[in-house]
Amino acid sequence: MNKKELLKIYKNHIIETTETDYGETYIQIDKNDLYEIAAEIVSMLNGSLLTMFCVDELKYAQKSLSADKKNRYMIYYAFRVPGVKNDEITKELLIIKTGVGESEPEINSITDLCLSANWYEREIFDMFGIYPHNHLELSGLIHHHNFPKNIFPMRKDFAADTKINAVNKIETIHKVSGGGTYLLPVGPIHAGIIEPGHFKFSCFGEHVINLDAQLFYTHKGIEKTAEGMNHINANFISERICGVCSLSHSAAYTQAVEKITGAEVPLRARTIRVILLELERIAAYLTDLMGIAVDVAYYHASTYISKMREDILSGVYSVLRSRYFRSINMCGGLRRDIEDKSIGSLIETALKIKKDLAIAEDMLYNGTTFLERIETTGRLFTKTAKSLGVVGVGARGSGIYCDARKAFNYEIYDKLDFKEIIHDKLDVYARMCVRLDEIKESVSIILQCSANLKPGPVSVKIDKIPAFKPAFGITEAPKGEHAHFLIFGNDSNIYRYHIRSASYANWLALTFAVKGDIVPDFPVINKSFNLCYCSCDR
Amino acid sequence: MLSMFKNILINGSFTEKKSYADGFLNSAAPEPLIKVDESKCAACPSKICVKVCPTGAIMPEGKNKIKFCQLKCIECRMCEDNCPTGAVSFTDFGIGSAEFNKLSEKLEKEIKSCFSRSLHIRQLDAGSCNACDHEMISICNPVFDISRFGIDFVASPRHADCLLVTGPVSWNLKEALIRTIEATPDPKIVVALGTCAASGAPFGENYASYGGANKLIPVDVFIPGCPPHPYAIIQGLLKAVGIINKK
Repeated sequence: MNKKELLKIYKNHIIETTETDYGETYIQIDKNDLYEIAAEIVSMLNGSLLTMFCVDELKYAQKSLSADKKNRYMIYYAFRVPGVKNDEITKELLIIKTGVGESEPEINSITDLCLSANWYEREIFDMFGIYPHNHLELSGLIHHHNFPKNIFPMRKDFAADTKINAVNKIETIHKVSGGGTYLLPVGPIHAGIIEPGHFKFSCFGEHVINLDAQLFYTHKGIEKTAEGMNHINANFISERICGVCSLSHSAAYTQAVEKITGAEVPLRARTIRVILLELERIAAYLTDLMGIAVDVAYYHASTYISKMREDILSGVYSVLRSRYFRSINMCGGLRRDIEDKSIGSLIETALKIKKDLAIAEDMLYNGTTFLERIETTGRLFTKTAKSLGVVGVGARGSGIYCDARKAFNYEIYDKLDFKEIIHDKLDVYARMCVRLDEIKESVSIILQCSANLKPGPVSVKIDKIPAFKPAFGITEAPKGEHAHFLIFGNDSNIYRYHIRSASYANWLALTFAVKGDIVPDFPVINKSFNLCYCSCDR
Repeated sequence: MLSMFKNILINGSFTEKKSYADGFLNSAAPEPLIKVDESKCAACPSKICVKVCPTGAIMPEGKNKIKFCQLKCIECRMCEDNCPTGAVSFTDFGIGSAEFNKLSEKLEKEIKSCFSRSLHIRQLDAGSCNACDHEMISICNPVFDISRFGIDFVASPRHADCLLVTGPVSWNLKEALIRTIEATPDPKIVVALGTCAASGAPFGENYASYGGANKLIPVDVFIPGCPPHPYAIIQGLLKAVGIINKK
């Protein structure tokens, strides 16, 4: 079955269909039909949940909002479905949306259809106060136990600068009972130079039976802050969602804006973007490899790799004047052209990395004590990964094809020749191998781009932004697939900006991967997924 | 095992004394990032830089002047790109090798006299975007190698002399931040690292963010930059050591 046939079958249930020229189909349905249609998409179309979020349409164009505010909250379910080619790799988006009234803010949970909806529904409950019926485990996600009840920050009638006072409430935790079991709390301030998160390990001896992770410590309301910003200023916010994938987030944001406005970005700008995106990928992967080596105390390799990483960052600094690929990308192209000489120096950096990587590979593949620690550690089984909707290296290390570069063909990736690396060993070792091989693929992509680089303009002007036209921006970042969703309002300012980062999709996988392993292995398993807290918490 | 030793012999030391250092950091005192040519700026009637600055770091002053607040600057360089007269320019972090050596000698001496050869730092993420934290990892790498000055990152606030706070302080981390500060023994230095820790820009103040570390805790030194260059962090630490000497 394909997308068209499905839409034909449910013709009578569909209230409104919007086809876009960028491969996204939006259908509006009644909330009572939601569960049935979602089940059909998951089982018959082989769809997987990309993201799910809510838009408060209080200040939307008045025509769509009836007097009794029957459809005030519009909930979007975005599914990846097989594209026109109907193969395993290319994907399209099918978005179903359903209205929820102000008087009855409830939806049917779809967590039993796709487990990945778990966090999304909890987030919608926290931020909009829409109660998911039959949810598997409903508790606070973004708001911690001391957050007052009945405050829903993402609603349009909540002022962003409201001061919130903490309340006293007792935390509920999952506990394991029985002889010999104990609870090991860690965090939120950890021992190394890492971000805050609170973990409760339920252990038996040294082995982890269950991991209860409390995150969202670094939640700073980026989505709310971005509302009402113009498209130029919001780009700077998008660059600062995560330091490691600044450019990937920015590229996802600009991709969404360019889809909405229909801007034709010049080829030179797209090519340079790809070069920079791949350099960012290499730098981030080197950071991860460094982290994996450090977390099992293999300092010889980590020191060497950190030097390689510094080569990239300082090489990029000399060209972009930013070590983290910031202030170069903008809606409609690039802020300024990069001379061929500077591109040449970036290529040289990439080639140097390729040369040094051989030595690093020798260190990593031949360190027997190192391999002892990472092999069979942190296994994530393919079935679990699929049902949790894992993306990025985490999924590719478990044998799932999920590269957004291949699936959605953004920028110029469809014209480039590169392999999607997958590995079937499921463990930390597999994820390390995927990274090492992808670095080589990235260098080859950079060389292909530089060979095809022709002079020309690097930006187009964004004039008018159509109001209330939704679009997604999807990029394959070093951490996995980032999905940004944008709607602009009447005043050409952002009405709703939703960010689903790769870490958000992958966090639950970690709690499954650590089960059965020992507590000291947790840091290395965490590092192998490269989960970042800031882009998850936003 | 043998190849490991071979690699060490072949690679030698990566720690930079010269080549990276060419043209880094202009002086020991933190300079404003933006340089404004006042005669050119006075000729410009539009003052477009005030409008394009996303964080409000540039304010008009009098009729023909602009005022620049470094603590709010996120280094987006919109002012530089849009300036019609070319009056605004950004200074790149650059230090001459001689100057860097002078700076590092001074840092080493100060640390020796005050902390008997060690300054122990505790990193404290209060909602940052990760970039500042990665720069902290960078200053530990063999190129910048901060441990040669006796500076080290420690696991617990109880072992620390200095707290490096990053991020605008999120609502959920307020309690953890204050309790960590309380756990650090006196005398201590609190350094706010990065623009968002200094002023909250570009995230600003909202229901989930306090907009800067100094809103909640006393801060001794600000190191602005988004993120600050590793050399700027070393420079900021030097300043911080000077402060604790006086304490």
